[in-house]
Amino acid sequence: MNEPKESPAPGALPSDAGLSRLYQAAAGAEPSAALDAAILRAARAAVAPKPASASLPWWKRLKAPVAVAATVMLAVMLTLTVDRNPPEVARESSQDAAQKALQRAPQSAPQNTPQKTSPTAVLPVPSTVPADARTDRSDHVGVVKGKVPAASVPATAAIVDHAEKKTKAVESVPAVPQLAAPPAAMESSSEAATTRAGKLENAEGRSSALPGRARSADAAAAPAMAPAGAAAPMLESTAKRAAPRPEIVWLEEIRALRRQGREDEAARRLAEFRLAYPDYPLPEDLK
Amino acid sequence: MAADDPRTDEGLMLAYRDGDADAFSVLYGRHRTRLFRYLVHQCGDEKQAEELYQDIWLRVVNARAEYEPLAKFSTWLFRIAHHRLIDHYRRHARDKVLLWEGNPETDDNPIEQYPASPDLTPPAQLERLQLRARISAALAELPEPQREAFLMAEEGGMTLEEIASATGTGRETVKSRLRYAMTKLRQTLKDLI
Repeated sequence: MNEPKESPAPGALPSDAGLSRLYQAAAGAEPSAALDAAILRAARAAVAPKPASASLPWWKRLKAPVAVAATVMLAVMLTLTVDRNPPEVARESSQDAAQKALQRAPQSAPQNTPQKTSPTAVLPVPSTVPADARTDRSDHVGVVKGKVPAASVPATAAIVDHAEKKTKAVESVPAVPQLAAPPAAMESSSEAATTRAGKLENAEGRSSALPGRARSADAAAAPAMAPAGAAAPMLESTAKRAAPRPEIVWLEEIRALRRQGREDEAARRLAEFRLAYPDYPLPEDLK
Repeated sequence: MAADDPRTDEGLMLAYRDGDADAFSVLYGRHRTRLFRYLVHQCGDEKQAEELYQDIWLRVVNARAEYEPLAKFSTWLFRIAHHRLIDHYRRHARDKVLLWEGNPETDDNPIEQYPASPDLTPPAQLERLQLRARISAALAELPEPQREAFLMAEEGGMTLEEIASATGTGRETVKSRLRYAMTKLRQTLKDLI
């Protein structure tokens, strides 16, 4: 009789209405108001919105984007600068153009009139510079490579200034008997070649970094300053001083000797030329 | 305010998960008394019950992001309370844990043999308490699983399946515990019924 009365539903709870009523009537415990407030405060704090990041100053919020933009801009500017100012390539291409012009000169030389060939048109070219000095362009870009002695660096700078002065001096000399104007290509390239040759050969003569090179800007300028009659002795002395010299210079000297009627000396020079340049194809007028 | 809100408990909890703090207030108002009484009768100590009560609600707050309405909110709430009570018993009363960790299918008879704590026996309570004390003492005399099943049914309004889900036991086990609990309470309180 005291057993709890189960409801007929299979899933229903065993229930006792009298016991349940008694329990509910006696139950009086409740949480305190302070406990309620603490729990509700914690619950509100958990879902409260976080302080907005807009309170940060703009330079803090944009620090990362600005840093990235500055890096990209610097990289682009460096790339453009290097692309537009390639020091090595530009100088190398002008040097190559000068050399090509000089190599074309012997082929066009026979077509020139005798008056067009003059010692004044023959200028020192950088082909006389040894290969190691030509390939090492550290004096152009201001970088001293390992095989150049450290002591020669300041000397080279001073020598370059000196050579420039010399070049200007040569250009400023008036009343040089120009027999003929050189071809256009040769003229433009020889100007640059004169400057470079002057620099390099001054460097050779003063710093002794490149021994065995006797030619200098002075020697190159000498025929231009001398009268036409004195050109032959000066060429002779120059030829004696410069064993390896540019082919075009040598051949022009030989032509000059022939024009002056000094056939023996011209033949001797030609023999020396053949010894120095056995593979060089001789122009028709010198064969 | 809790009675006026037409939303279900699960809807309120989902709203709170999405940031509606007022929804939690309504939900809290609906379950505060039930949970607290459940804990008081389970612990036998109101101070300890308050500590557990606050801890359980904070667990609800912290678990809001993972809440999914797979069961009734009351089932979820009392499951949290059940696990928190087991932790409490592990720390303070090792012998009570043994009751919880027994085989649920065979614990009907052995559990009934375990007495309640001495300070909760009816003779100590009867001298200073009226009806409330009588009921509390009667509940305290019950073995823990039976008392829990009774309290979940009375305070939580939970079905057999929900109690089984909250306590991690079988439905028939819950039914048996509940039947034994009611029989004992009727015998203890027969002069009041």
